[in-house]
Amino acid sequence: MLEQLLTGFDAALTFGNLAFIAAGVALGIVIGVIPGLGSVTALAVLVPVTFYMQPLAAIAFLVGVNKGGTSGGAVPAILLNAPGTPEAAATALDGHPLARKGQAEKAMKFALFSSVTGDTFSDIVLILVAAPFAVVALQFGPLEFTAVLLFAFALLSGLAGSSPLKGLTAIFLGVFLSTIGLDPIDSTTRMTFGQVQLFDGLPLAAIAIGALALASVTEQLFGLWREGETATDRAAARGDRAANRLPFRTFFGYRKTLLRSAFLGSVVGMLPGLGVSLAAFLSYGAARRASSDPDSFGRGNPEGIVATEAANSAVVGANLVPTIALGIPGNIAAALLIGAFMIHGVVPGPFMMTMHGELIYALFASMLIANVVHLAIGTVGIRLWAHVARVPRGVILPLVIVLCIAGVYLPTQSMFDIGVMLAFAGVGLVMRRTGFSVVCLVIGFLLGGMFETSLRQALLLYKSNMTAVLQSPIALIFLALTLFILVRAFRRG
Amino acid sequence: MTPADAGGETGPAGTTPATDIAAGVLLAILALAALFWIVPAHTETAVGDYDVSPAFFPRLGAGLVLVLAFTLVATGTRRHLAGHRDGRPGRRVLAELLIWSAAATATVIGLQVIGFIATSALVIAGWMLLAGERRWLLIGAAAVAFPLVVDTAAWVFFTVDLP
Amino acid sequence: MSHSTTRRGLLAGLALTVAAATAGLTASEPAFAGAYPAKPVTLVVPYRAGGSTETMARVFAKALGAELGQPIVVRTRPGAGGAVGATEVAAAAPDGHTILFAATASLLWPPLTQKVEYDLNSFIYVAQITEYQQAIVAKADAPYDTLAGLIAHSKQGGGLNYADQSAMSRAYIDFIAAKEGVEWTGIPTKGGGEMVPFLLGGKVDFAWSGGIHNRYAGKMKVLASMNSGRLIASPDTPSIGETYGIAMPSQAVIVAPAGTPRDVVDTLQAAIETATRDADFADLVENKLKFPVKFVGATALQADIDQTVTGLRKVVEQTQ
Repeated sequence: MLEQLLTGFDAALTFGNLAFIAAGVALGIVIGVIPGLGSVTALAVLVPVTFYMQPLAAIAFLVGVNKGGTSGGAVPAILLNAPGTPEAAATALDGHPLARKGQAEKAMKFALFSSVTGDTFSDIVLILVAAPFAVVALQFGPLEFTAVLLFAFALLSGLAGSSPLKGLTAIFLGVFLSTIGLDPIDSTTRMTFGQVQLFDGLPLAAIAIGALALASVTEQLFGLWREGETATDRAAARGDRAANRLPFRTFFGYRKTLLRSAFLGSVVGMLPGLGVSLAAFLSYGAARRASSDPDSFGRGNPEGIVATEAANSAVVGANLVPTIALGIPGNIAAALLIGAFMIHGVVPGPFMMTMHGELIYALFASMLIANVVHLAIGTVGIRLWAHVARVPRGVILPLVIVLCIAGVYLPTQSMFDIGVMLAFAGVGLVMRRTGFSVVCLVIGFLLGGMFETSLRQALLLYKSNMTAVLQSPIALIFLALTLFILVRAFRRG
Repeated sequence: MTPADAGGETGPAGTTPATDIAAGVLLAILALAALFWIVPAHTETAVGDYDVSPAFFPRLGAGLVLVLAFTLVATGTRRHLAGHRDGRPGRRVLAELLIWSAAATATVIGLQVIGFIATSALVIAGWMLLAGERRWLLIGAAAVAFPLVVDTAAWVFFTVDLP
Repeated sequence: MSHSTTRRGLLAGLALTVAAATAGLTASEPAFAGAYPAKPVTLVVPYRAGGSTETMARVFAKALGAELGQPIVVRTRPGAGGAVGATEVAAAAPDGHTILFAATASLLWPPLTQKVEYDLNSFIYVAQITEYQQAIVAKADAPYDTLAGLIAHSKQGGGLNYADQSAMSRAYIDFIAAKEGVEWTGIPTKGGGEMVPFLLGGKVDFAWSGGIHNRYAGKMKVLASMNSGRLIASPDTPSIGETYGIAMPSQAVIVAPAGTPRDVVDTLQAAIETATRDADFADLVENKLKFPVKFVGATALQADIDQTVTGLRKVVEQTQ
């Protein structure tokens, strides 16, 4: 294996290839910074660009885009509290408070370093376990996913923050909203009011951008309207050079969180269909649980940034495990990569390793190289973004509104999505002002739909026979974990 | 200090009991409407052989919101009776919501009638003024240049024509 | 830039809807017949960017644009299994400057089973480009090799589970089950990515596949073609068209809104025919996506569609 990997490095370390990786990472970061555009959109629009490239260059380029796109989302979340995706919302929880203390650069460094660490960890996982994993992945069916999602709900309810009651309300509101659209099982309409646009349900991207990013932007603008620029504003904009340094030793002090998050992210990434957001929040929740001072989370604890970014970047590499082992995309980004593989004559699936071994190892090598490139480009980027932090909020936030509108329109070209986004910005604004967690609403929406589909698939599959659970060790383990968390939460009051 | 200044998601302090009660009552009304009117009228309620009905999850979601809303009203009332008046008032959100609704409606209409560039220019100028920006040259430059840049970038990189 | 184009199109569509709603009038004759194409043509793809149909459309658009002498702008409008994009094109100005690249499933199934704002007469079928390779598949080690074998196996007792990927695929399999008197339970999945692990992991006994099985030669086998004819990769396996006289809509087509002038359709059809012979496009479709390039002109295609609809109506009547 090591020998093959070295051959891979040999093939991947050409000047042209490095240039494509660098271009990919840079483009990915720039696209990811725009609220509403993440690695999925970046990949979707850049796949056609690669039609006429050499296979390895094309795939290396797209790997770079995927990595850059995932980490770019942290920038607006930290600087402007305007996360465009659910996972970036977890970064904003601690990243933005840190930025308000004048340590925006430090927050971005934490994000970038954690991102690259998580990424590298999961790339290594990918290289080591891609083949044997196929066996485990096939054990996961609807029943097992139902148990995993129950576990996720239990863990995430702890994120509700200062008011668990309001947090839970927001989660169930999200669950209710997720049921709009065609029924996932029998395809009858549910609360679609005759709108074809609603058949697929409310658009997640529009809700996330509206309720998370735009609501926060408008809230800040209204704050400026009432109170003008505050002393905190000026201090935050000035920044503090000394406080923004991040020595390696300080960063390495978070090694436990880093490892746990990278591990969680890799596991979630390996299971098809769970996705980046879930990994980010699971990891954030786990870090908060493990911390000796959970109350410091949400107020600028770097550990929150580390946990989120390491986990969501770890998904990126691990997502290719099912892709390479089984030909099953781990998420939409991986599905787009599969499409690109196929265009370049590589058929993803169980035969990929044997048929295209050389290319795959060159891909592995490119992924590892891309991490180094990512670190370098990201560091330069932070200096640039730091200038953005110095622009007064009253100038930059209106521009973000326009970016949100463009961002939500680009992937689907739908006026309807813009309308949903603006409406949910209003909902988010009210929720923030009255202490309901917007993040919980989005999580409820995201997981609610997945949970309903899995549960009802399982009911059909086992003909509503509950004893089927007893025959699935994986489901039993996750149900036990769920019970454990709930019992412990009750004991603590 | 605004909640945004405090950072985090909802800010550290809770809201006043009156705000909680109002929010609870509003949520309860919405949940009741969903349970007894919207869901039955717009969702298939027949049950398959081994499946729950399509209306099961909407009802579950709305039902749980209803229960939690009642709890919220109850705890709010208890705090109120106990004489607590602390926390952030939620009243001023009403004015903000009104302004936002008007702005959002105008934006949607603007996008359909006068297009992305003109609407964006107005959006940028309007919100900058609201935020207290008074450097006219800066406002003008941003409102003209930025939409043009975004529109061009969308076309060049994504071949998407913004509305 | 072409903003004014879009906006004009939108307004024209709006005017058309208003006119049709109030007076029942149809569109007036386009003024510039003969000058087609007078401006860039918008090719709407009603599916998510990056999928195989969208990929195909992007490469095809290049070839078609070169043929027509005007650039083709690909516009993705995903949603409701293609119905969102179809609705938009059905309402567009019928001048050939807004056309749709879609699977016929998206054009035929929604009007017959759901409330949508277009019907079977909303489109002129200009040409077929390729054919989806739809099939009933099972794991390679399953104790049956054909649909008949599967049915015999099912009759020995115990209901079998299958994975479908859409209401339409479920309807067709349920139609067969009802006809044969066997009990099959459909487990809906969100596409090939979810179907494959369910099937290979043994959660379901067989599955509907839209073509993904071609990547798993050796792990899956085809029990029946769900098209009217046999599949290219398994020429010995009978199709449900042969067995039951019904077939799932399988064509990938380019359509124009009803009312498009005849000469515009002819120009378009001729350009499409030449474009399907483009080397890049043929290489992508046949060698990489593993679909056959299958050009069919308007007249023959319309007859094929009519036949598909007859079978489709039978299935809808029985199962919905």
